Amino acid sequence: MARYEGKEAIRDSVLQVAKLCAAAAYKAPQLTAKLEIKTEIITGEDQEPIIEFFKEVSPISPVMGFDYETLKHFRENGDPLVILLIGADLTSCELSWNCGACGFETCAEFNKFARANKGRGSLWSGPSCSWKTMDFGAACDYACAAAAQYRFDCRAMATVGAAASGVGYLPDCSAHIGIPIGPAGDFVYYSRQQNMKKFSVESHRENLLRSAPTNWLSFPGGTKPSLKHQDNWWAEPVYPTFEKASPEEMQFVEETMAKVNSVSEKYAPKIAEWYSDKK
Amino acid sequence: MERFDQLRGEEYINEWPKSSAQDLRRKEATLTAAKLAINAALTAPVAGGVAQAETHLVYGQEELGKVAKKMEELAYTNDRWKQRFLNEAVMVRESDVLLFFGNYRAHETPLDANCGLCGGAAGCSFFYERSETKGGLVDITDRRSNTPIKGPLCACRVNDLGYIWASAMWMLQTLLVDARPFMSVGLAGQKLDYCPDSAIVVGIAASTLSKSPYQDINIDYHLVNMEKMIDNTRKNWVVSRQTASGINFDYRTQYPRKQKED
Repeated sequence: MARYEGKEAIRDSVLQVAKLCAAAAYKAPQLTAKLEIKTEIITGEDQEPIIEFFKEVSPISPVMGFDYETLKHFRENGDPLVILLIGADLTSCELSWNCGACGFETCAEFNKFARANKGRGSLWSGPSCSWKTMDFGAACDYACAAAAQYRFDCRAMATVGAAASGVGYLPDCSAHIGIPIGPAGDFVYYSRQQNMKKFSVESHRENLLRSAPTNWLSFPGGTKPSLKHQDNWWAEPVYPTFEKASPEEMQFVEETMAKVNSVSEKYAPKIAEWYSDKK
Repeated sequence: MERFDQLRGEEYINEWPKSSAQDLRRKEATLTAAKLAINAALTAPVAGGVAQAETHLVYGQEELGKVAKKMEELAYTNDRWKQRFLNEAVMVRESDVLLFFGNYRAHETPLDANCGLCGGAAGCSFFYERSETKGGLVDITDRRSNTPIKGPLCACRVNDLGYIWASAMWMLQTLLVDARPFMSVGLAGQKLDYCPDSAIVVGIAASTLSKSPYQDINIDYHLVNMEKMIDNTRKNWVVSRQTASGINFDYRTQYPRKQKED
């Protein structure tokens, strides 16, 4: 009689669940009945390019930094983790509904603009047909719901999608979502216990002050309220200010992006090879 | 403990005849499922977990008929969706309940993350340069538009709306309620001011009939469907009774019999 250690057995089940999540993505109902989604399940060392991409971009993107710490921890710890990648090309529209939601009066105008101006923002490419965009969301939602039904934690992450497409995964898609599934646990993508030591209490406090200063504003009647940045905030008043990014900061962003691009260049040829082999 | 003595009863449930007490009991349960589906939609994962959905639950023969008529009106505004809208109006009339989901941020309070989904490399500028704005704030008070929907919209919010209605669909399908999401229902609902603060609306029709209204749609469905069949039977059978047989004898005292062979 075979015996399985639970945590080892989960390695098989997390992959099995990811496959079922991919199936659920295709089962998702569509408004257009036209959207073709693509899915891939990325496991083991094939996750390394994504994690390395996160690492290089994290100095200028705290959110990617959180995800980097999380995925790196799971990989280093040998925890069962798979990434379900879902992509689609939303930049062409054959519907002729001429609904106007994209900002153009006709689908033909949208397509003309898309052909000339298609490009990538911080996470995705565009422009996008609104109805296909919703169908894409529905596919990702069904994948997540399937994982939840099997009681595996997951999280639909645009950051993982962006990193994956950045190193060359699913090259023909304009929108990518990466859904890490597993390891087994309770809210592993929300209560990230392993991240605790990576971020000091001071950085928590500073992030809050920067992103939600209203909560710490003193009396604003004088039109120049100070920030209650410490217990005796009145003793050394500090004020929120408006400032453009300094040349040094801009240079840092540029240098960081150069490192990010080098990660892309490092992995892209090998990943592209996989797709050309399949053709 | 007396209250438990009140907790007894009998409820007969049958989808036929339509809108009878036994049919309305069935519909009431669909309505309960629809409410659970709306709750599921409200827990859908969206960018940053930011609240952005408004929903409307619409049921009742008159209310559904109003939406179906609006869909038929819209059908004739675009040849490409005409047949589809007409077919789907029939489905709405056969449904128990409509669920509308709108995104009230897509046109007014975008994600502002320069993600690129709406316009590509230019990031949020695609949206802001095509919207009426002042100092980064979007003024939506001019609602005039040459198109059925006034764009552009924040594509990330639109994407989130996909997660929202899909979560409702997941719940309905989990409860084995037949359902389908429709652009046509959403657009008609939006024109009727359901989800009144939203820039884009999707409608889900749901029902618990023995035959799903959303599958196996024959040609000319808006002319050839169950409601038309029943109505044509009502229209013709009263005549057939008279002309084919009934008028020719007095049932109280007579009954036509086979003529004797001799």
